[in-house]
Amino acid sequence: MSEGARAKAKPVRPRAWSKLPIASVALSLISIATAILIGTVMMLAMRFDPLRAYAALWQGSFGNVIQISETLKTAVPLLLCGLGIAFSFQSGAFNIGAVGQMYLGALAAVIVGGQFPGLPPPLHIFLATLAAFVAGGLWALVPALLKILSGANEIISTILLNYVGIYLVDYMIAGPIKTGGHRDAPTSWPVLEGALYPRLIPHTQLHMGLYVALAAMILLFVVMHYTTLGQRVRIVGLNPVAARHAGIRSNRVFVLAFFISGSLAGLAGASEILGYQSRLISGFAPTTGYDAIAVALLGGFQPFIVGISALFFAGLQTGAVAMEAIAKLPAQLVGMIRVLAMLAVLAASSPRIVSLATRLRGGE
Amino acid sequence: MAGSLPRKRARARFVYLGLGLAALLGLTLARGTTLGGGILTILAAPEFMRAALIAAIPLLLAALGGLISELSGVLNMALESMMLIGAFVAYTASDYAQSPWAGLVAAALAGMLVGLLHAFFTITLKANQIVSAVALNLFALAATALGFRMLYASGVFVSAPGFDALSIPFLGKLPYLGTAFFSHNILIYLGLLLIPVMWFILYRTSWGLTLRSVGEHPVAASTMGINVNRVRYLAVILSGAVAGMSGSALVSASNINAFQENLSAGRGFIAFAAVVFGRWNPIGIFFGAILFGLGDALQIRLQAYGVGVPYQLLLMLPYLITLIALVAFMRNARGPAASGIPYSDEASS
Repeated sequence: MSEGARAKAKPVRPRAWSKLPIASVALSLISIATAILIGTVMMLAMRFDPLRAYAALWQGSFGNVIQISETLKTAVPLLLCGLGIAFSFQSGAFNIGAVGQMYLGALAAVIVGGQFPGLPPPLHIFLATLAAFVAGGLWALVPALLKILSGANEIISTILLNYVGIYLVDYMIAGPIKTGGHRDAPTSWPVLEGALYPRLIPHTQLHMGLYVALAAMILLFVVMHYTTLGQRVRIVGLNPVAARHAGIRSNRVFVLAFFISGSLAGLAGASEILGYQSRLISGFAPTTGYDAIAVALLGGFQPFIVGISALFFAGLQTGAVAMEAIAKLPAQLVGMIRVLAMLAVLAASSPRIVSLATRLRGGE
Repeated sequence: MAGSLPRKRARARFVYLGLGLAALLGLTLARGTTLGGGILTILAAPEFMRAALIAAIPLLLAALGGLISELSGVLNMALESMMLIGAFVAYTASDYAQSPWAGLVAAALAGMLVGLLHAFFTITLKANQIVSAVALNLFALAATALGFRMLYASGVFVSAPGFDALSIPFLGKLPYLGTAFFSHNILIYLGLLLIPVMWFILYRTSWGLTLRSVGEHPVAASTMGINVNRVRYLAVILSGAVAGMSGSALVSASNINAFQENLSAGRGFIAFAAVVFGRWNPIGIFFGAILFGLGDALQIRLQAYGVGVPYQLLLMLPYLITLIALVAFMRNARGPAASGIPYSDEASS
């Protein structure tokens, strides 16, 4: 009953304000601060100098142009997968299958990118990217359709399909699309020169995939906030029953959310292969698809904050190398800080804390 | 939704038909490329059943753990993290104490700790139960990798002391059954024993009734004077203890009794699935676990036998089998009514 009174007393927030995700940013920042604090305690407990470690982390991730481009390059697949996950989670479709969808995207990219030598480069790039987009999307349709046709829980099926996708890639590079590599570490055929993404800064690996990711981010923001599709997605996610009464075909939204989220992961696979790896190897991105869940979570499932969050996680990843080399810290410790940030954001964004925060801010 | 149920079923029938045809096609293809007789010999050997059981027990334990939590209304997808942390702790503790029992106890305690975290996030903070589990799983992956690198910097496999095989006096001598079922280590028997024990506790004791009532209708349970959230806390922590022990079983399932990064490799999720297609019933869960065990054992044997199918495709087998089982048994599956919904006392807040 106090719930109702509060709703009546407080005017409905104007739409424009609610679009500015200040609360999300604040929560993310608090989470990061908490994680850094716990990380500091852990370093002290393990007898490492935290100041030196964080200085190395900064140097290694944002210290100069080369490090910044390395961080941006790392952020691209995290952002693409993270956007897809954010979109699916907002619609109440729990797609944990970014790993598999990304692998399928990379596979499609290397197959198309390694064939058709005569094509003009822009067209070749477009086709290889499109193939990855479609492959990732189709792979994501499998769990979506299984859910609708037989009720199979999409969380379980996406995870199972991750393993199937990983082994499928392993099989393809050891057989049908194999060239070169050792028997124990086979590699696929290389992507042709014309299908590779152009580099953005000379002497770095930063590639055009950054533009793809940024475009996806802006596009997703527009879709989420300015289209009926985005509105439907959010209504289905917030209240499936109300959505049904409003005449929204939630199955259709569910399938679409899965396709979009899978195809974004597919694009992430393409950006890895066409951007700088140029051939497919076993385990080319073993954790990106899972890390991206953390990215989406830390970003509060809001496109632009997901972008910042991807940058943060990418910085930790590239900076970890420097922390290991300069401050002699184990890279896994940095991994721990990454995960702690996620646990902190989970706690901070939980309904109990959020309602507490609103009560504190709104007064009576 | 109720109106479209018959149509849904008709559509589902098509799916099963398709899956059946695919399986048949796969079978004939496999036959065409390999010696069918050789495979049959493999399947008939007692060692096959034995390996399947060994592979099934970690899943069984994790799934039984998941069952406790889910009957109380808390989805436990964090089984993967409980299993992985349990495995790491079981390995280190039994290595340091030079006793597998120390490992088992430590694994159960570690699982309880993860359960406490999951309970805190989902019950006290009311965080989304799936998101909490995803976070905990990533945490387990990073934490065990860090711990393993710190403690075993060399990266060389060190075998921890494991449980000895225990041949049951008379039964162990039986022709097929002896090797397949009655000459395992004690953990396997304990796991099997847990099936009736768990069934009895959950379905024949008043505590089990309390637990299930909290999962079915928390408001009614609360009216009866039951502290819903306390029961759920207890259930999730207990769930962690059992699922943590599955880590110990996982370590001892490998011949070398050793830990490696991401040892669980998604088995916790398969256990989560087994709860669903075992219909929230310990016996059904056992069949789910053994199904995966059979797939795993078959896959390893087919690799060794050299059937001409690339091993990467064979490695998919357990996951595909689980997926097919999920699709086949998910129809009409109905879990606890209040599963996944946080409970809050309107009066107290």
